[in-house]
Order: sequence, then C-alpha cells, then structure tokens
Amino acid sequence: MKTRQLGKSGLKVSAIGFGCMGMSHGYGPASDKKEMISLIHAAIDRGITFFDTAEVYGPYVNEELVGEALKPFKGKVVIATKFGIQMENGKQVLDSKPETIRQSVEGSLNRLNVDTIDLYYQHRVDPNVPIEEVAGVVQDLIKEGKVKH
Amino acid sequence: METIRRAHAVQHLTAIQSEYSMMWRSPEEQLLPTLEELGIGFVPFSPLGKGFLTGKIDKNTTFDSSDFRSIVPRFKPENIEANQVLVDLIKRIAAGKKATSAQIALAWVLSQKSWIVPIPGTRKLERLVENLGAVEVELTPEELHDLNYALSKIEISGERYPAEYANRVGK
Repeated sequence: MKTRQLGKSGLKVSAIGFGCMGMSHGYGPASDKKEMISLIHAAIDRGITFFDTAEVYGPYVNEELVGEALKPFKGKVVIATKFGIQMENGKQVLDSKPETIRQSVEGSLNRLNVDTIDLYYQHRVDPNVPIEEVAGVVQDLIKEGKVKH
Repeated sequence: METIRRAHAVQHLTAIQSEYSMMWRSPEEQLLPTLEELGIGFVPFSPLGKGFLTGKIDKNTTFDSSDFRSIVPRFKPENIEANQVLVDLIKRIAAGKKATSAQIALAWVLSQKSWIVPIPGTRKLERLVENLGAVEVELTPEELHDLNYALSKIEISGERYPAEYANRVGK
C-alpha cells in the first residue's frame, strides 16, 4: 500500500483510509460487530493504516467497535476521531465548550482503548465558542499527551 | 476559511475533513487552495458520493428509514435519474481503464493533490478490496483534463444535505 503525508504535519497514513461510520451509523441498522471487526482486520492485512470514527457515530458504539478491532494494533495504525456533537434528547447538538471537549476526550480514549488520540477533529464548528478557544483546548490536550494531532 | 486560518494560528492543524468527490467539488474553490498554502492535509469523506458514484444505485433504489440517504435530496428518484449522466461518464472511463467506477471515482480524488487521503466506507470485503485497487489506477494529465472538462458540463441535481442539516455545515 502506498502512503501519503497529511500536509506538513509528518503524519503518514495509507493513501486510502477506512471510514468506519457506516458500519454502525447512518447507513441502516448496525452490522454484526464480529463481522465488522474481521473486516477492519482484513483492511489492516491489505495495508490500511488510517481509520476514521467519531464520538457521535452511534453515539459511542462506532468508537467502541473501532477500539475493540484495533486493540491488537496499538501504535501501528492511526485512528482519527471527532468531538463537538452531543446527543440531547435524541437530537444532535453542537457543543465545543472546553469542559465538553475535555469530557469527550476521556470518553474517546476509553472507548478506543488508547493512551493518545492520533488525530482529533472538531466535528462541526460551534458558533457559541470562539475557534481560538477550541484550538487552545486541543493544544493543551496535545501538551498533556492525550492527543497527537 | 477564516475559521481554519484562525485555528491554525493557535494550533497547527494536521488535516481537515470535508466532503469531496466528482459530485461535490466545492472544496476546489477555496478550501484546497487554503490548505495548500497552510500545509494542511485533506481527508475527503463520501469520495464515492455516498455510494452513488459506484453506479450501483438507480432511481428504483429504496433506502431504509435508518439510512441517512432516505432524507437526502440528492437520493430522490428524480435527482438520481438526473445525475445518471455522471454515472454513465464514469462507467465509460472505467471501461477504458479496465477499472471499476468506484476505482475511477477514488483515483480522481487521489490525483488532485498528493496530500489528500480519502476515507471510503463499506461493510463488504469485496468492496474494500475494490476500493484499495484505486491506488493502482493512474489517470494521466490528459485523461484528467478530459474528465474534468466533461465534469464541468454536468450539473448535479439535488442538495447534499436536507435543509435542517445544511445550515450547520460550513463549506
């Protein structure tokens, strides 16, 4: 598998990644977890090193799936996840308040079975929180070793 | 774009994720030039147009209520029919390159910039293998030029999100 670098960051990943959302969210009822774990392992066998999920996919179950599947491959693959959308009474709500991001990161680390999140995105911009503040929180998380990029 | 610049000034960004495919080329206007200037990678979601570009969906396709596409304007039968011209174009190119439609759609995304990494999804091993085959499909500059010219003549029908979602999504 060919690899590519994401911008000037130094983060190298397979030229094609694997978007995992559809296995449990958005494209019909979730598929059997065991089958999806085998599929993720088949992707690794074929050279994929870049896996995409988010806290809100499920919510939570997609991160749990990805975490369980990639547990044996810690440090050998890049996992991207996202904060900034919370479920409230069954509806998606944009929330990038610093305290919410801090809660989200702990939950994602836990579900993904990792010590560090390789790539952490803001899922959608929260109009109520200045982007500088959001970037500052992520910067702190990087300093604390909870996030790499 | 201003949001990306402001965030990047505080903490260097590694990558931005947004939709990008042969049927959603809006990132070419401002996003890609901005990312190139700032040295930020790009991770396109829905590089296969939520399955549409694979040629496996037609106006008779129905979506379960738990499938997001059941409420996406682009997947209404009349829009699927109107956009069939794009599927046909991709099929013709795929036949000429001995590749599949999905592989052409992914190869097109990959060929735009060296710092783009698409993330197609699937639940099937055969589709996974097919998608990965796109890495071996090379589109020459002439082929890309002709393809982009043909794409520029096609107007895509139907919005990519229902209105209640669209207003939350930045470009």
